[in-house]
Amino acid sequence: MCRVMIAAFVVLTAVYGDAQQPAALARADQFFASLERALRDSPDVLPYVADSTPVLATILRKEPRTAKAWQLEPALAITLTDRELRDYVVTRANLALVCGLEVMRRFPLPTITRQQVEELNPRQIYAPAAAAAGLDQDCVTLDSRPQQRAWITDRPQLNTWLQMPFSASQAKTTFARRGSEQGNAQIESNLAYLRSVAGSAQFDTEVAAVAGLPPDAVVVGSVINLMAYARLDRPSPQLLLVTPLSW
Amino acid sequence: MEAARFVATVFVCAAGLWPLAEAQTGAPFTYQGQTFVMDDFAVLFDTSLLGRERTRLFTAYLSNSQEGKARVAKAGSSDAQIVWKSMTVDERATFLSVTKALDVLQPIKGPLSWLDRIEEIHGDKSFATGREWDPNQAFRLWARMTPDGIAAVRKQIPLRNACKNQPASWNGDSVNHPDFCASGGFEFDRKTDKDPLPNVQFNITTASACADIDLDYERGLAHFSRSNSDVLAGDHSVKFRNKFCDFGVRRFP
Repeated sequence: MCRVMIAAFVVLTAVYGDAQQPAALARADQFFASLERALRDSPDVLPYVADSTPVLATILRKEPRTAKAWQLEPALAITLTDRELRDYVVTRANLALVCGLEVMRRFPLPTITRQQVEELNPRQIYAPAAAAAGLDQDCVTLDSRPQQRAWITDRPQLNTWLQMPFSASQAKTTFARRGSEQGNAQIESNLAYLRSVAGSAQFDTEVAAVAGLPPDAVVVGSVINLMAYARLDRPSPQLLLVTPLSW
Repeated sequence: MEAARFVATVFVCAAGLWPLAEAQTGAPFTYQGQTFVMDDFAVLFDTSLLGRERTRLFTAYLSNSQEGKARVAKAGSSDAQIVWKSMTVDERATFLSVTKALDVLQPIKGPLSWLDRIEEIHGDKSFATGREWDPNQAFRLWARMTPDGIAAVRKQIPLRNACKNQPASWNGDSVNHPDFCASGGFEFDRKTDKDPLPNVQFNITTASACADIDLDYERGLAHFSRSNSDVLAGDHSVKFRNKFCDFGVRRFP
């Protein structure tokens, strides 16, 4: 009898858990959609990750693929402070956002070419100083020049980024001014394309594990040209980390 | 006299080699404004380790997978060479480039041994419907992996690029692709070294052993183009050769 009751409890718990998952993912999708609207108007991730800084830093230190996504050597990541890790991610993410939106207002992503991005060169608009630090013209990745790895491996390289004269508020002002000019329909089309191909939010049990959270507490989804990790075990979803969107 | 003998020798040698060259390389074909040649079936599926692995995977694909059986029916023959020739050049190039990259990235036996069988070979358009694949479904293999293969990818075991004779690391992060097996379960994603591109990307669903395997040739925003994983587009075939050596398709002349 006892065994039957335990089995029934296990089954009911599993069924209840399965029923909760679609609702949790739908909630995550809503959160990512609202975050996308907010970042499109004001491309600065700092207000959204500021409260998550310790978790953001833990994930970057313990899950090498997230540090590598920003071309940060994992061995270096484990030596950095929470604040340094957060500021590096915020600078890289904000640049990726403003330059990404600049490109997306002009070209349809399904047929975009490297040459188009290079000719537009949005890096020159928002962060000309980043060229010396090896940032590609689209501000998403570090380029891989001959005999030089596209990789942040030591503190002097990192300091270049932490001291980058890139101002999120200035970029936002520039972006807002340019945003009113043209290209809204093209951006809408591109964002719809990215959402359709990247798909809906999914649980990321590996990131949840390194963050010390339950397996169904962390979701990942696309937000503009970034991948956003958020925790769901709070009354309101909370952004933990962003990395460049890839598929 | 010596000069005449030399010219004659060159002529005889060239004439003798010409049929051999013809036998090994197919007719040039044009793809998006570029001309390529592809090695013949006998060369691509020869007795080398790579050739044997390609033969194993391709014959099993034709015998066992739904798509392979459909191709056999459409070609009107179960002869692998005939079916191969019935495939589009982009489908064939995708198969050749992915299998070559996996052969080059070697632990002890190449990651090709991690593939149990191939379910689908994707070029630009779906063989079943004729419609364009979504960008994250085009130019890739859908395969089933062995348990050892899944474990190796999950652990990101050390690899060696046999083409460059250099260590090959793992790298990066990306969203999971749709689970083509539609059986649920846990999915995870791993990419090999992106520096330089192309990298090999595995999307794996452990429960079903389904793997979506493609190569990424572009970084940043150009990564989102339809042709990101198309080995025949732009300078991708050159990038491939620079990292993984010859895969049986070359620019022509």
